[in-house]
Amino acid sequence: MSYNNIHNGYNKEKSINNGSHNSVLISEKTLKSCQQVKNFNYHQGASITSLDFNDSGQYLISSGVDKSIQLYDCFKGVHYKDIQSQKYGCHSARFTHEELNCLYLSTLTDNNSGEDAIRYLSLSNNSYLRYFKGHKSQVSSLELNPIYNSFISSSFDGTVKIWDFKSANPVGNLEVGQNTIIAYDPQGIIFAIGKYPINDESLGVVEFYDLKSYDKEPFLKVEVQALPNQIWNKLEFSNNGKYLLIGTNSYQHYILDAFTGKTIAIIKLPIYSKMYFKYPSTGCCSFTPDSKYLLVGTSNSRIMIFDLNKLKEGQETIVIDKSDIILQSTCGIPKILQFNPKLYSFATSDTTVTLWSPNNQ
Amino acid sequence: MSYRGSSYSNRRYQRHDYNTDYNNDYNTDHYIKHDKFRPETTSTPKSGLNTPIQTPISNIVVPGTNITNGINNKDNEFDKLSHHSDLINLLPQSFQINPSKNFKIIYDPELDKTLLLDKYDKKKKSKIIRYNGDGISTVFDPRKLNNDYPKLNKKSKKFPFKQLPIPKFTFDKDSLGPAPLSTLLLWDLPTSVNETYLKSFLSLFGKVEEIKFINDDQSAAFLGIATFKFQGNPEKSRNLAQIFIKQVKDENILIDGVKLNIKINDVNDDLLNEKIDSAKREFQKQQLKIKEEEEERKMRQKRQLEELKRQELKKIEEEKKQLPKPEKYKPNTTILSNRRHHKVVDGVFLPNELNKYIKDRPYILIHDKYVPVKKCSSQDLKRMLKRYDWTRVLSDKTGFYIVFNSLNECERCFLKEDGRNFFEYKLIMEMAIPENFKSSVEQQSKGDSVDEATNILIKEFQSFLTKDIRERIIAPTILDLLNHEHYPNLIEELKAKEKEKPKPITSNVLLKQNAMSILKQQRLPTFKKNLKKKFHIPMQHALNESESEEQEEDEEEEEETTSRSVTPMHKRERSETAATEDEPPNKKSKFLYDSSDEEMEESEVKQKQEQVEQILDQYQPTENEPKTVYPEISTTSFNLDALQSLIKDDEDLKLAKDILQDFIASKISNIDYWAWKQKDVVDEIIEDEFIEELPSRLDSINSFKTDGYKKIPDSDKIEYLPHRKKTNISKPVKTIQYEQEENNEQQQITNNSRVNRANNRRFAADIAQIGTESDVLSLNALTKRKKPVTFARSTIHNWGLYAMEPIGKKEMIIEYVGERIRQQVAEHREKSYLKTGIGSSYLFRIDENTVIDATKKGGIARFINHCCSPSCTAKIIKVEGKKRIVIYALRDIEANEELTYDYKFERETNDEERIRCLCGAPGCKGYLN
Repeated sequence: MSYNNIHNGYNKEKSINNGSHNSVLISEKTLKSCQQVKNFNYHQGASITSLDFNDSGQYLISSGVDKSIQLYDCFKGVHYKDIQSQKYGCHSARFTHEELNCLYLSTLTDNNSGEDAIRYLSLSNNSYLRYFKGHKSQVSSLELNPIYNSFISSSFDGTVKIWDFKSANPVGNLEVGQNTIIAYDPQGIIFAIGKYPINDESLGVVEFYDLKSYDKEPFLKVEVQALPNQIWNKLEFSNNGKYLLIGTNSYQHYILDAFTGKTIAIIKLPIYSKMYFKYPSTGCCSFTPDSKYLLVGTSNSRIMIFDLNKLKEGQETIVIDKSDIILQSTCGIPKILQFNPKLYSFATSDTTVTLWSPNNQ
Repeated sequence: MSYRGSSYSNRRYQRHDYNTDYNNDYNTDHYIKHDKFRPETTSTPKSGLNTPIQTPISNIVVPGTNITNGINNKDNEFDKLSHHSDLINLLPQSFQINPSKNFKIIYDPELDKTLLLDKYDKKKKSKIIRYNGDGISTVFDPRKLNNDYPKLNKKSKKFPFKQLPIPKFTFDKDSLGPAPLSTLLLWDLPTSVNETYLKSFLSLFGKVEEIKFINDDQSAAFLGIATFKFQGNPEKSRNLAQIFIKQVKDENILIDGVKLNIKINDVNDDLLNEKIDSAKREFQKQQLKIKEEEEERKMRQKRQLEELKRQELKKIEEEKKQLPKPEKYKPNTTILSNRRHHKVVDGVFLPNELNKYIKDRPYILIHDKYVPVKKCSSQDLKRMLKRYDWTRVLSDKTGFYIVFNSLNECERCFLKEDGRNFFEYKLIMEMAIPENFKSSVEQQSKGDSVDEATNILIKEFQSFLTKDIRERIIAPTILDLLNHEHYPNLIEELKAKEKEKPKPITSNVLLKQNAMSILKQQRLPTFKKNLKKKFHIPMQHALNESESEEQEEDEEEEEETTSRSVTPMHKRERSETAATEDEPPNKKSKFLYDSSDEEMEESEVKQKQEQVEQILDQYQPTENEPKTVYPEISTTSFNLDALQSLIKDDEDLKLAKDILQDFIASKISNIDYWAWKQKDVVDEIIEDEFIEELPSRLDSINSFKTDGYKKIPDSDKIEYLPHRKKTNISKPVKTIQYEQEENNEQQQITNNSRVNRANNRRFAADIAQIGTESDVLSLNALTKRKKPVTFARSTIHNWGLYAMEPIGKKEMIIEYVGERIRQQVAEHREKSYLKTGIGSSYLFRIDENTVIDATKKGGIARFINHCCSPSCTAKIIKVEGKKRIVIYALRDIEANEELTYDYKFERETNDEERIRCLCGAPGCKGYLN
């Protein structure tokens, strides 16, 4: 008898971890082949205001104006759970590092309650683990540290607060003077704050802070030539750490050098392609995980994909107005776009959530 | 935050009490600001946001938000939420920045992990808050230092993967596009295939549904095309279908000896229709051919039929000529005269006296009332019917009986002569066929039947003669002779003699007779028993004895009869084997019986008499002791063993020799061979009689004690070992009950938190044990996460591993610990384990070159059994560069449930080396490998 009866564990493991058998290089060709595969309509037609994947890429969470949070399984592509937050409303639901726990912003209209709290919810048993209270006005966005168990939030009270999951009170506070957007770098050691232009100005500011010394001052502060009355809704570091994306509600989006803060590229869409909505969203732009492409949703229900390989360090600002790949959505305006961190799939949403995936046949 | 910023100087940190709410003053400030700015923002309403978009966008109408005004009408159905732009625009857009409000908590006792155990410590210490970067001289970009921070790990959400796996979404109502095609199309099936056959054939490869056979619409003939699906959701069904197609390609699967043609059907059934069309064309062609052929065949058949008909007609005619009429008449019927239209009546009229003359032959009866017997002679009648071959004409007071040997002749006579004039009378006949009439008699040729009849008659006469002699001459005389009254003297004499010597059995000859009887009986005899029998001689016999002069001879005869009564059929065998017996002709018949009814030959008379003697002997009333009427059934052959066991020492042998000295030794050339053969015969008999089929596990005739140890197969053990009995097949039996099961629902809710708490406890315990920080770091991360499990007897195989607490899905359970060995060593070890009798395999392969061996040194994870639908899975994970096997839960596991995972043995083609799977799961594959 040979060694046949030795337990065999390694065969299957290969396929799960490396996924070698159906793992696909992110390329123009494969991006082009992306199709809408799933369309989830679980928000009763109400606007969806945020999308987020969890760390393993298995789950997708969406929050809507119908005050519900919907959970989807992206491995199987099925709707997984419906969580109602009728009491507090919901916006910007974000997964934490622990499986199926999420943070979300309450959107109470009753301002007297003074509860502009961030809620820490366990989706598996529908119980609140903690309320993070401290902001004095509507919280606009929150970002999780990709490595550590902490997060930052920005609010219309003109502050950015830094939180630890174990403490109900903020562990840090930053006066920034206006509502901002925020982002962590992939290593989770710095964060950036984007101040969009207000009061008819056309200059936006991006500040870079070290997590150890943010209370002193930003170590880098750059100005971004923007459009007046433009509202920024997304600030995102690319996964390779080189770029910083500013997503806006206008027809222009910006890519900054993450180290120098210099504007490398302006993504210029047709002028009508403005993404103005009554409810805010978590942005219509997203890097691919390899940071080589940028996906942008446009108001004419298209997804324009821009190749970032042409961007070079130390270059003059270039204007990219021609996309290499255009995908057509049939399920509404892709006003929110988010790429899955672990699977070749991305989600777009307006009032429904659509999953895209390359056609592998 | 896990990095405690100790590098900053503590000099100017303000200390707050732990319980003070530091937000208070800060908040009041904030409100003031609000008031300042609000009028400004309201007075200058935001422009731009609400300005209409200049360029009209594409005409695509999509549901959801209207892009021109950014309004989703559906949203109006819900409450206006605070992040709606209308409300947001009411908020102040900018504030004055007050850098002094910037702060960072440097130390928070609440977050200090080292203070976890000691609550008093927590209260003692207070928060350290740094305001406005106090004490920091310069700020710099920490990314450029780069060495302090760990590299990105793949678990992070922001890892730059260059390639990603494509998800395989299952098909459901949310899917866009058509469902995956899973209908399989089979064509060119042999027409011998029917639906049930195909179904059972296909179910070898998976559960099948929606089998459709496609028939020709006109003729409803099977076109050899069928479609079917594998059961399950579309994706699964398609997967199965693809696997099946591959299998068909690779293995050349045959159905009814014809290669299977298979493809997945397309959306529009194009392929199906194409196949149907081609099959139809084919079918029509064939149909045409068949028609042509059939027409030809019909023509041929017609011709043949005509010929046949002609032949048949001829034959019938010939037959009519040749063959006698088929039997019209049944036995025991009477056909009445023509006057009564040949009515057939059951029963025969025949006086008893004439029975023996007619002897079941057909006859014609002419009643006395038609032709009076007294006035007509039979001679006249004979003359009248001389044309017919009658055998006898009998006359009785009831009428004339004309007996025929042949039914045909009888009938002929009956049909022709019935109602004819006979002098002044009419011959009104009735044809009678007696009850025992046999048509076969009729078929015999005439000469034969006559011969036969004469033979029978001669025999009859002979038997009647002997009977008469016996009855009328011998019997009365003997009876007379036996009459006691004739011999008064003799009786008295005898009585006197009996008194003198009551037991006259001691003579050597008598003993010899007894011994011989044993041999003759050829069974295990006892002398005593037979001697006893001697005393049971019935009374009448004793009388006979006294009467006869040769007492001893009588004795012998008596013995003989008893022996025969016991085993009457063995006579011949006996003479073959050992005893040569001379039967003295029984000249004196001592008993009388009525044999008038019996027909016997003279030569047989004697034997019959003997038999009767026996019978009488048997049914004699018994005296002294009861005796069975029928003898016990004995073994049927000569038993050498019995004889040998009888003769136990020299004395016995001497006696035996004495007894047997008078007999002539039979000629046996090789005595050893003969003896062996005799014994062999006995053995065979024993085997034939006693060996029945035994259950496989009792495969021995011997006592179990003499059997030695042997392995009982598991499949047998299941039948009687209590812990192996499967009460619920889908779930392993809970053999251990550690704690009272709580309310299930509650458990479900508390599950996660409970597990967390338990984990924390365990972690704390670990720390308490180890103490120093450096040890904490080196602690095996896996053992910390281990779930409480224990091993106990398993329903599947020997031992199994059981969960002691409920375990959630995807949670780590235990590491498979063992010696890490190379492939070559593993092979060597497996062989040696097999040799030493360690049947169970505890080897677990990590990769091509490494195997974990838990046989001699290992953790309890090795007790986890295989199951075809397992509750756990084994994953290989890298810990500090080393691959390790960790068992994870595949689904939620209840407390006290057995843990199982799929061993994934390589498939074994040799049936003898396959290992039976006893998991009993619904989808059990039957074998491990």
